[in-house]
Amino acid sequence: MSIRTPLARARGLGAASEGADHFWKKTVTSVALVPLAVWFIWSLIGLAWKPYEAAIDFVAEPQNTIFLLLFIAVGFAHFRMGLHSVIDDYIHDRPYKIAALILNDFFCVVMGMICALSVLKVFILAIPA
Amino acid sequence: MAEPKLRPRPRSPFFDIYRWPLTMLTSILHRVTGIGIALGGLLLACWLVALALGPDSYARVQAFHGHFIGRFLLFGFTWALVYHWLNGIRHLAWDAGIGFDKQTGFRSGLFVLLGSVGFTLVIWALAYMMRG
Repeated sequence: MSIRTPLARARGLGAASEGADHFWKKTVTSVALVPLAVWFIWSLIGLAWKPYEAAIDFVAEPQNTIFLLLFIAVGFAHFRMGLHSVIDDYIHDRPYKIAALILNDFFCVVMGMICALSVLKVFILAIPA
Repeated sequence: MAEPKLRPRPRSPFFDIYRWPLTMLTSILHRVTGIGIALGGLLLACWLVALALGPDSYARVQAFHGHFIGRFLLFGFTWALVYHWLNGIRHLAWDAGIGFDKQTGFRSGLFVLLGSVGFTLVIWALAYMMRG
């Protein structure tokens, strides 16, 4: 999704030609995270003192699985863009900057996949054979 | 030839020179809490992986969360999340052109600072009430 005007696209100007796109994606993910974060904290309050079985039942509940996967995907996408801005602002030496940006991408993608796979495993194993 | 008389050049004040406006503190904290939450993603990953691995590893992670250091990390994570959430909404309002004047910016910043502490304490009070 882009909010750039056709004229701006045709000219191909602007920061890396996609400055507004980055801002827009950050805005969309933050709007999505407003309710998701409330749901997440609320759920953790409920699970804090519960045993292992209760946590499994919670994650395996389809609507919770969906909310968790959404929270993980949107959350790590938001982290990635936020950390990208921080690196842009503070690391000016080009080799370090590129290395930091690549590490940031690896960290967020790998962490997101590890979290998502764990949730999916619990969900799939809970399906009655 | 005489040296030309130079007045000391004006220097742009760095952030450690002057008293921080509240809005500057809230802006810096937004960054700091954002980075903190990203690292807190490691806690989430540990919890979910432990859950997927089985009861033994889940018990170990829960034991860590019960330990003083684990509690401290979780409390800090909660505050960072609440702060970033509140201040993020403030930023969304600004993006929509709402509350960007000096007075409102100061008041909303004060609300975010105090509110983040208040909400964090309420969340932990609720969690401890669930202990029964």
